[in-house]
Amino acid sequence: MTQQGFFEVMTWFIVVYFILLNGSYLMLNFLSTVSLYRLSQERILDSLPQIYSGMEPPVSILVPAYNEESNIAASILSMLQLSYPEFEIIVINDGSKDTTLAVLMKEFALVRTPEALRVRIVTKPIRGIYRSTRFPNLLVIDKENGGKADSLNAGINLSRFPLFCGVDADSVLQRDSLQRVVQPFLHDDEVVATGGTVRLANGCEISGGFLTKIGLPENLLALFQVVEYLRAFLFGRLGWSVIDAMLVISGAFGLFRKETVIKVGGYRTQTIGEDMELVVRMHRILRSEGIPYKVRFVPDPVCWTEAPEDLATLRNQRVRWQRGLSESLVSNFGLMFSRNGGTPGWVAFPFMVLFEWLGPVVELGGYLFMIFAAFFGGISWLACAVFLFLAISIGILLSLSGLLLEEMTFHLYPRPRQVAMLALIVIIENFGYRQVNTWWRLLGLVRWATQREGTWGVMKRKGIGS
Amino acid sequence: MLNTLFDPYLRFAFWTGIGAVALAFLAAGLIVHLRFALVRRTRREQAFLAVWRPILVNALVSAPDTAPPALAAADRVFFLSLWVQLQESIRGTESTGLHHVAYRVGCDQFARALLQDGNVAEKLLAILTLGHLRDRSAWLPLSRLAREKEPIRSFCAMNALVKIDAESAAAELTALLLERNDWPIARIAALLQGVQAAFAGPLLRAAEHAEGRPLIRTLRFIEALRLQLPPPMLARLLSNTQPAEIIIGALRVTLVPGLLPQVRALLGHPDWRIRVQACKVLGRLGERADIVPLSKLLSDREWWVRYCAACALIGMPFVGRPQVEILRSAVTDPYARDILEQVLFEKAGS
Repeated sequence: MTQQGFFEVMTWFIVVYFILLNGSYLMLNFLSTVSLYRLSQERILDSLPQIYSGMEPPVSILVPAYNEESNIAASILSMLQLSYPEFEIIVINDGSKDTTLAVLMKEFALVRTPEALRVRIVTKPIRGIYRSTRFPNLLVIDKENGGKADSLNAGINLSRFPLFCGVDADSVLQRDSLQRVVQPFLHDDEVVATGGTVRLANGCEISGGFLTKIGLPENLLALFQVVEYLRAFLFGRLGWSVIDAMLVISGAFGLFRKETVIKVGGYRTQTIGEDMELVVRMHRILRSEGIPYKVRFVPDPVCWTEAPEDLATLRNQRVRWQRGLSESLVSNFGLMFSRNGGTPGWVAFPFMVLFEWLGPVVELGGYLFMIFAAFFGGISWLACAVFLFLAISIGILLSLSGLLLEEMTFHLYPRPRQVAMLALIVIIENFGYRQVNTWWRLLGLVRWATQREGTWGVMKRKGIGS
Repeated sequence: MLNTLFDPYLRFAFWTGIGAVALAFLAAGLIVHLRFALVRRTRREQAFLAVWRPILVNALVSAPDTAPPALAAADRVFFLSLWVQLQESIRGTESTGLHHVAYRVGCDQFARALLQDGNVAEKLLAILTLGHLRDRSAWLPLSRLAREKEPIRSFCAMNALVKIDAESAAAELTALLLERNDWPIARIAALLQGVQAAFAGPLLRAAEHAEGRPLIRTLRFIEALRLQLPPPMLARLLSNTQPAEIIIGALRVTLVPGLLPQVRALLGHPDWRIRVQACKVLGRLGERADIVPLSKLLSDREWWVRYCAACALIGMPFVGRPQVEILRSAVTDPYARDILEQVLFEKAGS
């Protein structure tokens, strides 16, 4: 092949990839817009007290905790105040090296209970089970260290109720979060899992474990992530949910049918992205066995979490996410184009492989190729500039549509200045932040290839509670 | 390729980029428009609430003597929302004062209009309003809506029909109640509690003839309304030849000791869910003779069976703490001992 022929083939490959990628995003955006429009009409019913209440199944809330001595008590106290008819909270102390267990013992007056544990998923040994004498619906498991997935499995073993909700110990929940995220289960027997929108708590005011005032962070990195989360949840996950192909439910807050999770083997312990891996595995196994099921997304903001505000922590987080994605996809590759794969196997999984998993290679490769080709005369600098202009303008359009969806439905940011600030960030993030993110994802891909063992992530926190 | 702006591909890419920028501006304009619309709507709603909330809250207590102010067409949905909200916050009988105000402002008329032409939320508000108003003239459209596939709207329409005329609703809708698996049993049960007499007959008749899923659902309603099935019918449903779900449903409504021999026979059923329910029945109705078979189930391979057997044993009125202690020291199986200890601990804490 001649040099010019090589440039032509590569250029076409990048152009086709670019069209498919942005076409898919625009399609997801369209699906979400239609869905959110309907939802915005129904929001008037939120003020009515009895539209949905009185039929909620009891829920077990599982809270894995590793070295959470500073915020575990406040988190649990806020969870105990959730507005939901019947729920239990199971805290799983995963062999913390700090005083997490002692704090729990003191704050909640725990006593050791002779619980006859029902082992349905094998976990690391349990050292003790404790029950609060102050809150009858609070249980604590003390176990040997085995990671977050192992802790969740131990919680599943001890849980009493048909639905369980995995919650990060440092998450701030909306008071009605369970009420909202359980709705799909009430409407449809086939629903096996639901997730809600996770928003960033940086810049918000929190009191008593609950969000009291919504604000924007001052830190630029955190601001970029606010826009990113809007995009990822409001049109990413919602769009996939509309076509029954949602492959990710955030580990920070997700509700699952317990028997289905046990049927597919519980959380996989040897992975970083145990939340995504579980959902993809549920799709693969339930599809292959021809069991009808649905995974649903609730766009309401149900959970607030702290975003990293320094480059090193953010980089580590993104590297870990990409490794988690790689593990989830590779270990469930059987779903791809499988006979009963449906939209998860024929649309969402290939999309994830092509654009999310291998995306960093093609995207960074594309930028490098353009420069290389322009340098050697394969394409003109003008073509390079036009391509960059197109990429950035579509990037801005997609991010802005995330903001538009937010404005159509939730109006969480009350001041016009906040919306103007987010609009500005939508533009700025396309000049550097997105490209750096792609680089980190590429790093994650490389690290995954070296196959290091998954552990609890270390996150540098400013602390969002008070 | 891709060398000058005269290149058609490059021109296409360039103009696509321009299009994306134009769309981005459009999106920005929409955001501004939505924000202004929100501000206007919030102001209007606040102005509406300032006038109408005191009127409607007072009407909760007694019918107002003076005529209410005129209701602007743009405020009708706010009115319905507030009116329904207040109605639903009342326990027991409906407020005649609220009804009085509703009729004075023509609420029944515009609710019927919204039932035909409203959007999703407006339709739902109209359904709830007409139900609370017991508006008989809306029976036909509500009956049509109750047969729609959409679960929330159809459920609310059924709810409204029951409020309007329970007897007619029972005659017309019992079959639908049993077919609609998407209508939540707990909500229907709560609704039917107040009109139990109207639905008892149709439900008991349905239990005689129904099969499969509708029968399972019928048994759930019978359980929720605490209706009693005739023992011969119940005995038939407890037969080992019935599907597991039906036996489970029948065990949940077994309230008479006369059926204990059949219940005991189910303690060895291969389906653990049936063994669980059989334990529960023995916990409620069991005799001294049931202590031994229940004790054996403390070693069942299924955790829930062990747990329910322990709860049944410890909950029996003639089994005291000393007897449980004797039982605990006598059992050799560690599973049985663990579950007894757990249930004893729970009982002590409760």
